[in-house]
Amino acid sequence: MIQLKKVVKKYRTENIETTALHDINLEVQKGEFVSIMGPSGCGKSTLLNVIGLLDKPTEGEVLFFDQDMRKMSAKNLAKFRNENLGFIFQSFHLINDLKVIDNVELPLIYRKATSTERRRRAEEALELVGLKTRMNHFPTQLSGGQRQRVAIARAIVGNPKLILADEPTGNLDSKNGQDVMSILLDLNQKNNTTIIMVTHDEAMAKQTERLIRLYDGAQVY
Amino acid sequence: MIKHYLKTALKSFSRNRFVTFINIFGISFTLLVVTILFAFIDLEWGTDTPYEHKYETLTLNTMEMIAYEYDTIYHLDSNLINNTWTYDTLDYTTKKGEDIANALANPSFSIIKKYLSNVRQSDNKTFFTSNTYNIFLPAGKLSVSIKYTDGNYWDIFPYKLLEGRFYNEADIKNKEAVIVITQRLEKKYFGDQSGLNKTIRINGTKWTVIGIVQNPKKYISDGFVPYTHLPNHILNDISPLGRFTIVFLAKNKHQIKKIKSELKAIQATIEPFEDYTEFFFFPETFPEKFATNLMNSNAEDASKALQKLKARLSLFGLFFILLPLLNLLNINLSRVFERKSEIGIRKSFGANTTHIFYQFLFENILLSLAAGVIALGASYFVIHLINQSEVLDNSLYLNPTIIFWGLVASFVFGILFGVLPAIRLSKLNIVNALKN
Ligand SMILES: Nc1ncnc2c1ncn2[C@@H]1O[C@H](COP(=O)(O)OP(=O)(O)O)[C@@H](O)[C@H]1O
Ligand SMILES: [Mg+2]
Repeated sequence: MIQLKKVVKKYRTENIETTALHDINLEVQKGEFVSIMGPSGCGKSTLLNVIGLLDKPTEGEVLFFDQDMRKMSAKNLAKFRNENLGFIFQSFHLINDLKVIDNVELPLIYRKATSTERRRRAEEALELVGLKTRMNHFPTQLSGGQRQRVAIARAIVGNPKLILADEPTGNLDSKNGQDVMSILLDLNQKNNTTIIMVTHDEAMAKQTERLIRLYDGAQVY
Repeated sequence: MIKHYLKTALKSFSRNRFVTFINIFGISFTLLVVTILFAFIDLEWGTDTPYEHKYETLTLNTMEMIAYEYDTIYHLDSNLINNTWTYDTLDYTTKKGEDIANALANPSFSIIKKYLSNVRQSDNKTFFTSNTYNIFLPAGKLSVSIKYTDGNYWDIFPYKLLEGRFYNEADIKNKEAVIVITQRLEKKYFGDQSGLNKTIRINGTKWTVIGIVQNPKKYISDGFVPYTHLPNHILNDISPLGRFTIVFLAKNKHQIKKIKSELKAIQATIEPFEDYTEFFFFPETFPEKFATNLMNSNAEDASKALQKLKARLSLFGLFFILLPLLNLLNINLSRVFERKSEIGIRKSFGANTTHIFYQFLFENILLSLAAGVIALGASYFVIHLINQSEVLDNSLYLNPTIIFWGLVASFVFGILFGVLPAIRLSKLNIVNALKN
């Protein structure tokens, strides 16, 4: 489903050039649950952003369904993200001005869908994460664990083929972390959704079928 | 989608209540000032009844006459008196020289009759003069301004006749005691009854009201009567200077120039009066007249005064618009930058630049609309207050065109300062936008 070929990512800030990713080659099949581990600053987020088309690699190719993503226009990339990808961030990144239900509807806003259809699907997604009763709250009225579950609902509402989660349990206690992990595992097993997750937590990583270790921007086997 | 944008906008507005208030207040206050200002400008510069021909007329109400005096030559003479020299000066006046005596005033009736009755370049012309009288009513003293005009007056100043008729050449020739009055005078004199065919006593004459005209926006006069009622000492005065205003009608600017040069030719033919040998007309178009009045300059520099006025007005206008603009720019920029991460989130879930553009456009239209409505209400209220207070003789009106353009302007500013920064942000790398 996804192929990374010789991906290099360099950051240039004034005089210093940081190479965040060295020559990454990676293939992820449909239905896989992959976790990425590695010390802080080794390039995990960068890798996830490159896979999630939020950032462009300096060199190398990113292929989705054998299609080279470098050739896509910004508009088509946005459409591709909307239809195929769902993001879960460590710091939730909910829009605090919007109610829970409206946050969850967000990906559907940028699609052709009637408002009743959007509402129905958002409610379903919230049901799945066990927060339907909180749909009219604002994110600031929820706990961290609840917010991350809202973020998961938002990530899955559009039925993405791939979910990218950057330390989704990083800001949560172990109980809430495990709840989030269970939801992700469920999604992977029942819906066959492909998931790539960055984590610091060995216990979480062990529950996934495949583990990629990064060190200093390079894969270690 | 609109509903979603509306929710976001309203919440963001209410979260930033102060900023939203400043924003709306800034836009609406600017709009308010602009609409009121334009109501005043419109009053002066508009072409409402009876000023339909305002920009096709040339007004002559100033002329100058010059007498050259004899030069004084100083001559020193000396005498020896009691062993001391004393000096005494003698003046000799031998020739006409640089010293002049001049007089500046309106043209007299004799000038109109003798020299201006046949200005060929002009399509039509009218002359008039006015006077103020007190009339005594049960309610108290009323001061009324009466214009003495010829019959053409009604062609060049097409008042809206509500009842009756205007006076004509026959009325003027026969010195009929007829008067056309404004609605305002009718109301003051006759109350709620119609004044048509009734009489008004002004300055010892009983005038029959033959016509009632609508009040013009800009106050001009209360009543109009045939000029033949003017006293003989005015009509038979042989001095070139008097108290009349002559208004020439032209088709266009080009024709106005032609009339001006014809008047120049005519002024050279005016016969000497007493010691006065040279005569000058100072005809002015409406804008020139406005400028010379305002800039307190004389009629000779009319076009220069107009240029100066234009320069000053544009400077003033620029300053006036720039100041609130900078303010709004600042406020809007911070409002947008604060929402950087929202833009990042939206983009990672599929929004493209167009979506972001529409969202912020929508918000700014909401803001401007709110401001527009407030400004409209406030200007209506302020204008109402001004009219009620009767500090002006004139009535101010809200000009819908001005409000429309004011709104358009505030939309443009909204787009410039609210939407463009949002677009710039939306072009940012998403990863950077998401970083706090
Ligand atoms: N926008 C950026 N500009 C410059 N350097 C960056 C930027 N983002 C990340 N880096 C650098 O790239 C390296 C990898 O960062 P990151 O992918 O965030 O690591 P991780 O997520 O594994 O902690 C780090 O050295 C980091 O300092
Ligand atoms: Mg990271």
